[in-house]
Formats: sequence, structure tokens, C-alpha cells
Amino acid sequence: MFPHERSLVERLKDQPFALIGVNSDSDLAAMKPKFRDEKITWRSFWNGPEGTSGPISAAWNVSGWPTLYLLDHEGRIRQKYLGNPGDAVLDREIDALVAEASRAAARPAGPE
Amino acid sequence: MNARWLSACLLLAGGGSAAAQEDDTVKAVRSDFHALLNANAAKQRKSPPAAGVSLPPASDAELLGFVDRCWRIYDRSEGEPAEFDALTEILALTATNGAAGPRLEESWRNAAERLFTGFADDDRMAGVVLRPPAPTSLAKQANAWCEDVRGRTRNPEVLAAFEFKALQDDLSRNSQGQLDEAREQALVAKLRQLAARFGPQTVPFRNVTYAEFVKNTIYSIEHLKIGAVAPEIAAEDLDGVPFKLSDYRGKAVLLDFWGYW
Repeated sequence: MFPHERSLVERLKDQPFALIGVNSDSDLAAMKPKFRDEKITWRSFWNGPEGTSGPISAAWNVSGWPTLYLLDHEGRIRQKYLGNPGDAVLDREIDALVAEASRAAARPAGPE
Repeated sequence: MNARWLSACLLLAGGGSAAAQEDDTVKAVRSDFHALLNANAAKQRKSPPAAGVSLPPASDAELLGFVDRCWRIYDRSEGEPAEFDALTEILALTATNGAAGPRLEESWRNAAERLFTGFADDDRMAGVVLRPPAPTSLAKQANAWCEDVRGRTRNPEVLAAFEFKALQDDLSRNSQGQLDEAREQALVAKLRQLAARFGPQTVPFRNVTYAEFVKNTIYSIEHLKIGAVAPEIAAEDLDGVPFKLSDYRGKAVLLDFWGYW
């Protein structure tokens, strides 16, 4: 998962796209050097010292890792995946949402 | 002291392994086994097998070593919690590769018979019937043992696990956004029944009561469905700096619940 995520972040760095993690490692201090080794540079919330039982994954009713959500530029849930659906599927769905976000941003701001 | 234990001791006396110690525990077996899996995976990364060849996580011979350690723990822990743990660990070990040789299959059969006949009314049986570990060749036998337990048990934790198990397919589809409106509503109705019958019991592997689980799941069906605005997350990043999910409005967001473990 990490190599493809690195390439997503790199490929879409000038586009309206963000990869946001919710990290569920309980011992953050021990893990941080490994994140550096893996070049996991994108921003993550920390699920807290309870690890996979932490408050964010509980509120989102996450039952398996990884769980992925795709949100559009208005914050709406557009896809969810329990487990990695595959690089090709992710690329296709993300590209569609990035295109939507770009179109919305290009629309001239006017009276509602 | 039975014959199996003796022969295992003789074997180990020859090998001089530390595993023969009387204070061996299932926890130690598990941790040694994980170390072996990691070592094997590292070896395969270093010198990958030929294309089209896939090596199992551990060889049958390696698995048998750990299974034998569990049998020794089982043989000296009658009536103790370790007795149950040793049997379930044997089932899990023999199921590691999916396919299993005859000696692993034999151990699975011996352990399954002791476990399913001896612990049908034990709280811990709930987790076993929810996900009975078995080599692929013995999956049918595992289900038959579960049905046998279902007919005999009076333990509400175990009975709850059977009801919960019946919902697994729909729960998994729901978590991927694959249920249509009608099936979603049917699932909500079944979840409410589950909470009404088994509210105070504990969901295996999750450490929450069915009452809480059902409440959270119905919330997720209603608020985490495709098309719903994502619930806000306001928490700290890995450097302790607070931020919010809604800070990223205007962008497409891939939200990844991950862990390095």
C-alpha cells in the first residue's frame, strides 16, 4: 500500500488532492522511525494509545485495516473500501474526484 | 504424563531445544511463531522464489514444531486457561498455510475434538465458533463441529456469536458500501434483534457489547453511507499538532485508516 500511496502523493501534488491517514499504531514513538524509513510523509491523525480500539476508528466503525474512504471536495463520502481495492481502481476513482474538484474550483464565483 | 508427551520430550532431549522447558506458554509459542514468520518473509524478500512459485509462510515441519509445543502445554495444564489456549493455538497453527499435510491434519482433528466437546459452554468458545481456524481440507469438519456446539451450548456468549456470525456477509458488504437500501434496512432490523436478545454479551475480538456494537453499526449505516457528508475528525497529527478533516474541503481526499504494526 505505502509505495502506491507515495506515488499518488507525488503524482497529484499540484492537484486538489490530499491523502489523510488515521494511524492506529498504539506505540507511536517506536513506530516513527519506520514511518521515516518508508517515507510516509503525508499527514495522519493519531488514533491514540489504544491503537485499533482508539476513538476515531471507533466513531467510523472501522473493523479492518486498511479501511479506505474517498471523499469529494464537498466532504461527501463517495467510496469506501475494506482492504486495498487495488492500485488501478484507486487511481481511477481518485482521478475522477480530483477532476470534479478542479472543475468546481474553476467555476466563477457568483451570487448563489 | 501420556505417551505423546513422553515421545515429544525424547525428541527434544535429542535436539536440546529450550522449548522443552516446563514454563513454556502459549504466549511464548505465539511470539516465537511470529518471529519465524517475519524471518521467513524477510528471507523470501531477499531471495524471492521463481516466478509463479509461492512459498507458504512456514513449512509443515516448522508448524509441527510449534504444534508439539502446544500439545506439551496442553498435557500439563488440565483445567487451567492454558488448556483452552493451547488447543485453539493448535487449530490456528495448522490453518496457517491453508493446505496442511497429514500430520497437521491429525493434530487439528485431535485438538478440535477436545476443544469442541470440552468447551461448548465456555465463554471463549464464542470466538472459536465465529472464526473456526482450520486447514482448507477440514473446513467442513470445522463447520460440523460448530453446528454440534450450537445444538448443545447454553452459554449466551456462544449463542450470541452464532447470531452475529449469520450477519457477517451483510456487515462486510455494508462496510464496503455494497448494500442497497432494502438490504440495508433488513440488516438494521436484524441488528436491532441481536441487541435486544444479546445486548450485554461481548462481541468476540472487538471488546464491545452487542448493544454498543449495534448502536455504532446503525450509526455507520446512517452516517457513513455513500453520499453522506463525512463525520468531522478533529484530532492531533503524529507530531501532536491538532487539525480537522474539514480543513481539506475543496480537495478530493483519500482517508486511509492504516497502521504499521
